[in-house]
Formats: sequence, C-alpha cells, structure tokens
Amino acid sequence: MELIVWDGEARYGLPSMDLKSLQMMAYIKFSGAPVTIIKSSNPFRSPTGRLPVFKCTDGAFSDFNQVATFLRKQNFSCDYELSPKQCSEVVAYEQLLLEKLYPALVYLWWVEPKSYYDVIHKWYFSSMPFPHKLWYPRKYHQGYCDLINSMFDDPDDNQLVETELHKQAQECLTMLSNRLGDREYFFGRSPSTLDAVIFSYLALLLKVDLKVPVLQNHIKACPNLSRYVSKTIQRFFPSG
Amino acid sequence: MPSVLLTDSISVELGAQEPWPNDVKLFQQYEVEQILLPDNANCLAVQAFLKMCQLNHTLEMRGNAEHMSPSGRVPFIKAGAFVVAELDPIVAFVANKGVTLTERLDTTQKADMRAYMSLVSNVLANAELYVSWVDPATYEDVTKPRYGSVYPWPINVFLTRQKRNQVVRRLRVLGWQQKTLEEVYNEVEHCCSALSERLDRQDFFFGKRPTELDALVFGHLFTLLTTPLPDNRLATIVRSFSNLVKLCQVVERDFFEKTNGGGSSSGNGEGDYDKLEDLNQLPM
Repeated sequence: MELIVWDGEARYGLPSMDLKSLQMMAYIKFSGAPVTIIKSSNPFRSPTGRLPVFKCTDGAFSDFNQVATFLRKQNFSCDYELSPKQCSEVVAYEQLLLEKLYPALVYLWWVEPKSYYDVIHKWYFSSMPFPHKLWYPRKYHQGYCDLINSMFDDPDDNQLVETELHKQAQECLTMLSNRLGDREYFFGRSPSTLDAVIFSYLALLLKVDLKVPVLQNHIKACPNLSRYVSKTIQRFFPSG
Repeated sequence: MPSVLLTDSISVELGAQEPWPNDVKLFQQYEVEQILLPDNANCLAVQAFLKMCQLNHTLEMRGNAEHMSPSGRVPFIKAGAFVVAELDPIVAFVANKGVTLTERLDTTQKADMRAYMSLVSNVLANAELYVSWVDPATYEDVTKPRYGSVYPWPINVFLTRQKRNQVVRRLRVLGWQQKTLEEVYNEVEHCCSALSERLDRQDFFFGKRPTELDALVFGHLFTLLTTPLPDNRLATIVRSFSNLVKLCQVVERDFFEKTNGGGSSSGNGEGDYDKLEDLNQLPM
C-alpha cells in the first residue's frame, strides 16, 4: 500500500503543504497502517489526476472517506474506542469544518491576491517541474475562485467577503478550542479520525506565514490549539 | 484587513435597541403552488424556531419572495426597520434581542449543536437541491412547473433556466453535481444515521427543551416526509429512523397545532398534519 502526497516545506515545519495530503498522512500514522508515504510535487502521473492518491489492491483513491473505509476493512482504524454517538460527532464536525473553516483556508491561500501570488503560487511554481508548473497552480486558483464566488452574491466586494469568511473561521476556531479544552486529543488519550481532520486544518493555518495573518494569530492566541498542533507534529511526523 | 469586531458590534448595537415588534412578517413563496423542497425546508425551520422562542409573527406569501430577500434566499423576516434572511442570521438577530434557546447549554454542547447544524445544512440541503434541480425526473415533473407558475410565459422559462444554471454551478463547485442519485441517497442516509445516533431516546437533541438544531432538523425532515416526489426514496430513508420521525411529530404537535387556530397564520396546510400522523398507514 502506498500513499503519494504533496511535498512538505521544512521552512514551515510542515510534512505536506496540502490539506487532503495531511489528512490522509495523519490518519495513516494514527492508525498505524503499514503504508509507504512518498512525497511528490507533480499530480500529472497520478492515476486519478490529483494528489494525494492512495494505491492499494482495490485500486487508487483520492478521497479521504474511501481510504478510511479501505483501511478499516484491513483492520487499521483509529476509531476503536469511539462510541456510536462519538462517531456521529465525527461526521458532524467534519461538516462544520467544511462549512466554516475550509472556505477561509481556501480563500486565504488561493484567492486573496497578496498571499496567493507571494507565498502559495511561488511555492507551487518552484516545487513543480516544467511544464506542469505553468498550468496546475493557475487551474487550482481558478477552481477556488469559482468556489468562493459561488458562496457570495457580490464577490467583488473584497472587504465583505474577507470579513464574513474570517468571522465564520474565528467562531469555528474558538469552538474547537473550547471543545478541546485541556485534553490531549478530541476524544480522549488517543487520536481519532476527527483529530486527523482538525490537525490538517490547524497545521496549515498555523504554520504557513501568509500576508494576512489574522487566523494564524487567532490560533496562536488559543494556547491549547497551538500545543495540539506542535505535539502531533513532534510525535507523528518527527522527520517532516 | 477584515474588521470582524466592528461589524459584530454594529449589529449588536442596532439590534438591541428595540424589543421584538408586534407586526413581524415572515415572507416565503406560495405554499401550495410554488414553493420547492429546499425552500420549504428552510421556511419551516425558521417558523419552528420562532414558535419555539414564542415570538409572534405572521406568514406572508409572495410570488417574488426570493427576489425580495436581501440575500436572495427565503425565508426572510421583516421586523421593524430590519429585514433579515435565513436561519443563522435570524437566530443571531433574535439573540441580540436577548432571546435564546441555548442559554443552558455549555460551550461543548453549543459547539456540538453548531456541528450538527452544519451537517444538516451541508448534506440535507444540498441533497434537496440536487433532487429538485439536477435529477431529471423531479426537475421535469415538479420543479419546472412549480418554479415558474407565478410568472407569465415566456419569462417563466427564462427564470427557471437561469435558476437551474445557478444551482447546478453551485453544486458543481461543492462537488455534489458529479454525484449519482444513488450516492446522494447514501449521503442522506448517512446523515440521518448520525442524527438518529445523537438523538437517541431523548425528546430533543439537547435534553427536554428544543433548540435551533431541533427546528432545523424538523424543517428538513418534515419536508422530506410530506412532499410528494416522483421517487419517494428520501421519505422512505427518513421514515426508517423512528426516533427522528417521533421528533417531527413532537415538534409539530407542540408548536404547530397549538397556534393553528388562527387559520391563515400558519400556512402549512391542514393536509400536512393528517399526512404525518397517518405515516404508518401510508402504503409504500
């Protein structure tokens, strides 16, 4: 079984620069599955056309839920200790993050002009091989712009869009901080699927220095969240 | 730089100045001929929420309610000088006036409540939009005739097509348009299973008194149970979770039947009540 993910960036201390890659890597480390992780920066050769991609006997998957289902069938899961009610909470929190945090992350990375051109585009452009670097970053940028535009009736009003996205994201981060409290992980002493998902969002928002650092500062202002990210990286991704 | 604190403090300042007015109106499309599955769900959810808070309001039906709304979506309320659309802003508006259903919840429970509300908004709402606008059978038989029923030809054709393009584009960026109908039904089942697990044997999701989550779940599930569609799979899926059906019956009995004496004020239609009670006798 192998997992091919986007490359990380040692400067930021991140094992991978991509949200879904981090989620899958975290899930695999938490469940202890014997999967080889290969870093790449070219989605062209991937069987599904996207990264990350998980190659196994059942085929190639790029969707987190499909990978989790396959690993569970092989008896590798990090949710053994969860009750059915907690499993339903995992489903609900995934949707909460998708509704409130994902748009802000996507906006800050791919749509907001200063951060996109100076940080993200530069990283992708320098990591990817020619000629793919000329096409992929722009394609992602366009896709995410469409996503943000579909969410707002007046997408040209940047101030309104930014304020609304940040408001939702900050509320969500505060809720996560309150929910985590003093615990080590969200459901007790060992990490679960929910931790894999939340960790990926927090790591990207915290570690990458963007030109609009509002959410990064918000996470730094919640000490339990920053501690949660650092401990997880230290414990499960010591070499990056 | 975004000014989150400024916008928040402005809305609190403006909202808190007056108590709940006496002549609040809730606007939606015509119940019998025009309204569609997703809009009906949202309108019912807001009505349920306002009834749970015991805030008086009257129902006004307008053919162009969607275009009157400040956000382009129904329902919206007119309270004094304020026009507020959709459940979340209405909940915030009502909270600014000091009325809330969640004061006895701790922060963890409030976070859980918000998470489940996101689950319903992301999965059930998008599934309803998919079934109404992307599934060809439902679109031809139900959506197309209903959506343009209040407009003359040829504008009804243009408006329906425009709306469909808008909805399909939105579902595509969210990753829903590419799903098959079977996958959509599986998502709905997965969502209902999570809700049913959480509700367990309680009366409401958080104890003995309802919250906005109960209102939202009621709005969506009641609509799915009582709207006749070419393919009744959605109703069958919801019906298989008996505690969720019981929740709908309890909310309906406690909040909708009591105030139905006014006749025109609660526009759910007398027929709907019989349908929910006769649920077990409906042939499948």
